[in-house]
Amino acid sequence: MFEEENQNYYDVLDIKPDATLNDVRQAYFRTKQAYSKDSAALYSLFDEAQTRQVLDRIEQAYLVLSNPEKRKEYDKVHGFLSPEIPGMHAVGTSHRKKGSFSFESGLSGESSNSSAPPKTIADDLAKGIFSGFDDQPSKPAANPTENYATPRTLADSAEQNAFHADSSPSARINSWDDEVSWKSNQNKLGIVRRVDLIRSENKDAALDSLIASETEFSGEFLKKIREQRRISLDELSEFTKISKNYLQAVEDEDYDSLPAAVYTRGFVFQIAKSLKIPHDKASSGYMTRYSSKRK
Amino acid sequence: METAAGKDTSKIESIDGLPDELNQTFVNEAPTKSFLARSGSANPNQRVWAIGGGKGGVGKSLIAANLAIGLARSGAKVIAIDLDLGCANLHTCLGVEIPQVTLSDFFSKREGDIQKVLVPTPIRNLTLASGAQDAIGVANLKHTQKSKLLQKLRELDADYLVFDLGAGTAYNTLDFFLAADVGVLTLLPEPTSIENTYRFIKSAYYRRLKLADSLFEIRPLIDMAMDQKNPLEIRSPSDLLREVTKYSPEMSVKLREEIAKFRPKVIINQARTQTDIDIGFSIKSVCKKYFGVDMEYIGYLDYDSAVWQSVRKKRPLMLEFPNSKLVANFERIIHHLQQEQAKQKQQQKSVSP
Repeated sequence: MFEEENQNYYDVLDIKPDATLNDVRQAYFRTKQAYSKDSAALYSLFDEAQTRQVLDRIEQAYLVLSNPEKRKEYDKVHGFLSPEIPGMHAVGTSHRKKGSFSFESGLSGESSNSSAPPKTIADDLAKGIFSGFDDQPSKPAANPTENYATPRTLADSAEQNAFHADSSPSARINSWDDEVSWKSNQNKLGIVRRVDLIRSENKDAALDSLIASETEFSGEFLKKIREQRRISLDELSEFTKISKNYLQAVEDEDYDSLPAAVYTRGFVFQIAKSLKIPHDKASSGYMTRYSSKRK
Repeated sequence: METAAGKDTSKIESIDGLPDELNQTFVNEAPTKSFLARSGSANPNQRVWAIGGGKGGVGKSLIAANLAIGLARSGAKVIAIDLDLGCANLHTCLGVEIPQVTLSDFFSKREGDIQKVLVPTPIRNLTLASGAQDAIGVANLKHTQKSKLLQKLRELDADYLVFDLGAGTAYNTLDFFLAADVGVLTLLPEPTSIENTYRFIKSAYYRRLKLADSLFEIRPLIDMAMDQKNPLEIRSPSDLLREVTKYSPEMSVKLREEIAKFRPKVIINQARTQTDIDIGFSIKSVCKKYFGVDMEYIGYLDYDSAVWQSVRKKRPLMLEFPNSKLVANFERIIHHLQQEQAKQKQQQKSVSP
């Protein structure tokens, strides 16, 4: 891994120190997926041992950064300035490790932070504090938020991102998220589960009207909708917890490979729900075909 | 040859700890920095986009052609240049009959005026410098021919130059990629293509470091890193950085600066599922972790049978299948790149006195 020793938790998740909790969550998923066992992106660069190392770091990073208190503590120790109010952005964070040239500050647009025009008086004050940071370690790093915690709106921070020579990871994530948003819930254990299989940019009005006018709901139709929504059988299987073989059999109308009718109906019901097809209509339509063919 | 640092690169002192043979190897090859320079352009706002990608058949010509068409349609004056020498396909993707005068004539000096090599295409504001009718051996360009071509192209009155690069990692290909304002890597969501993309990034990366003036002092180390089985056991960019830091912390700062300047863009072609689309983010992350390189994922292209159909017809995709999803895909990518260009300009303006 490039400069493993110098990587902090924000680097590990590819985010900036002023990332919101949501950014952290999404970055966690994104990086976890990138280093998963099946990830094609690892081919020829990382071996299994290195991948496991990276995954461990990702877990560590997420454990700390997703917990507001632990994150605050981490930020203090490492010289980052964290948002006082959860969910709000901090003013453009400028951070430096004492002494060494920090790799991430070169890339995360630190120089462009200083060229971005200040928006409020509080920002001005904050800049005053930050610029002296390296030379005056005794500055109140303990209370960094008092002077600067002017909550920025999302629009402001988007505009500030515009001053960066873009392509910084979290800026990228922000704009791609409009199209590739993963809606998720987080339960107490911090395990995130997607509730919506369909990505927002795959929603298609023409498709929806096609679904609305359908009456038969053959296996082929279900397959067509799935493909139009750009969902693979693997993804559908993972989401519905129905085995891939059964899903395939439903689409192929291979009734002999399917269990009793009541189960088949259940499968179609789940598939329809996941693909946002009216599930009652779909399952009765499909089962009507099933019974007529099985006579 | 004098460099900015004032040292004569033909007589660099040896670096302690390196075996003598290695200290002598780099001296003669020093590629000129002028290749990367932006001077001499008739149009100061001219942008050069290079479409490359390690593997063959991933869609470079197609993407170069359609990006050029998209740009031309938005009103810009565009020249598409086929630099896949010995393997030229751009004319087919643009629906142009095999031209009579091509780049081979320019290289053989049969045609000294680059303007005469440009042929019209079915799209207004878009002309083509074709690589067809190629002389045998044209793929083995000399460095001077390369520089001359680039210089002449930059002098042309165009808003955009779109290069269609060849496959592989020959120096010709790498150098044109590095010389561009926007370097785009095309890949398919498959292991073979991904592996070749990383290969390309590695080669371009080290080539870039080698061409950088500020790093002339550590060129022997860079040369070593390019050989996987070198005696100092430099296997990855991280190892190189570590060795350079040992040698001189000041040089390691410069090395990091040069690395930060390398920002390739990536397009995923023939995406069929969401997983395919998401692979772009994974690759970006892995690239950052392994090379320390900030790669930008600028978009994807859906798999669409319109592609092979248009190629067989020898007609430009955007014109032949205007209702294809791909048209929207391309327009989105162009919009994204143009927005970034505007932001960069704004940033330059706010920084300059």
